[in-house]
Amino acid sequence: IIAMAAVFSEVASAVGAAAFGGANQQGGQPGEQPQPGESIFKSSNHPTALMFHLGFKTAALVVYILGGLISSSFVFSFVIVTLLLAFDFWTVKNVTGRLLVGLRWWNEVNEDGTNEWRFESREDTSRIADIDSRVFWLTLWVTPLIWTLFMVSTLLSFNWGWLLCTVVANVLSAANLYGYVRCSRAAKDKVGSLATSVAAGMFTQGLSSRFG
Amino acid sequence: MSNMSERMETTLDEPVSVTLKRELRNIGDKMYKVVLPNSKLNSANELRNWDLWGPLIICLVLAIMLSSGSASGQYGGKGSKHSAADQNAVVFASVFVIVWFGAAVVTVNAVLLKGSVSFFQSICVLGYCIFPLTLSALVCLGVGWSGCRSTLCLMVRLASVGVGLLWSTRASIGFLAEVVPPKRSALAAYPVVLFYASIAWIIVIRSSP
Repeated sequence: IIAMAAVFSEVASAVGAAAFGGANQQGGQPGEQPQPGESIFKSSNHPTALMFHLGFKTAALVVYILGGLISSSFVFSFVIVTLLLAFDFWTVKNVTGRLLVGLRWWNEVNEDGTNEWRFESREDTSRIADIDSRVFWLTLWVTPLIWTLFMVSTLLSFNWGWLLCTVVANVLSAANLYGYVRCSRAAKDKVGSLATSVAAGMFTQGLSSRFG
Repeated sequence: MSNMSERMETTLDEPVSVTLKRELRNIGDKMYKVVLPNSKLNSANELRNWDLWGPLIICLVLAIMLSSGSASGQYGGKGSKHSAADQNAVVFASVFVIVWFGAAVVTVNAVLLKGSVSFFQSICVLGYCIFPLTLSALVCLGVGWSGCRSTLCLMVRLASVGVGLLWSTRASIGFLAEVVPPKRSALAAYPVVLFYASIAWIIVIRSSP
């Protein structure tokens, strides 16, 4: 599984580098651009978190795909896949999101019973490694797509038991995706308003220094 | 606002072990509250911190137990269209679907009755309250595996399922009564009873030797 995760991550980093290469060339970024072939874990700030982030997802996919071959019992495979999916959901939501990209989302229930979704982001983004962020977002987007493909294939083959499994996988990964997208939007809004106020302050300061 | 941002910073940077411990303590507290419905220890706070881990584990355990039930012996055998493994798969998937969609339907009902309850919180409570029925299923399976077909054993099974049903219903209705307007409490309680009764019925059927 670790080997598969490493392979998966190499592929992911190669794709990520090809897609976004050249975009983030400014200096002062922690975590250098990975050379092709160099292990991405070296340039990551949180290699353990990265490994778990990829590990659970890959393990769930592997067990699902090889389900028929590993064990003759549907129940056993289903349970393993579901548990792996649940661990992955929890890890991405509570641990790797925090460590890799400094975002977090959760739900709070108020006194009167209404509930609120909260999205928080780290103010200072300089500690976030480039490779961490790329791998995080890439896997976050790719996982629901893969599970949707599997869902469609089980639907078309009328395989109801595994359809349930893919539906569960889809719901969990899509929920994480949605939460983090909302988070990053909230963060961008925060940065946008902050930048506006900073620019306004600098402008007035420049004006006053000119005329002062 | 500053209080909020302090709290946000704390949860963003806390170490993983703290997160894990907090979640586990949460789950333990809720189980305790379900097991002893009368205890008023921090009831409001506990229920507000909903999580779906407990329901997931309980549902998986129940589904595994029921799908390995000895009733499969009745349907297996030569010439039978469905093998025992297929039966097990069907029962497992059915229990899973019944638990989650049943809880969702009961929750939607409570919400539609103008109850001030959050969707996930209600599913959390309903899921945790299945725990007594899981214990009954354990007892029933034990009796079923021993293979005794006497009336006494049947009574034992029915009694344990009955106790589990009453316990589950009592625990969850206690929660629902707090959040639904009193005039509608019977309307909110009925689907809950139906939900747990259907699970209890499946337990009785699947554990017959």
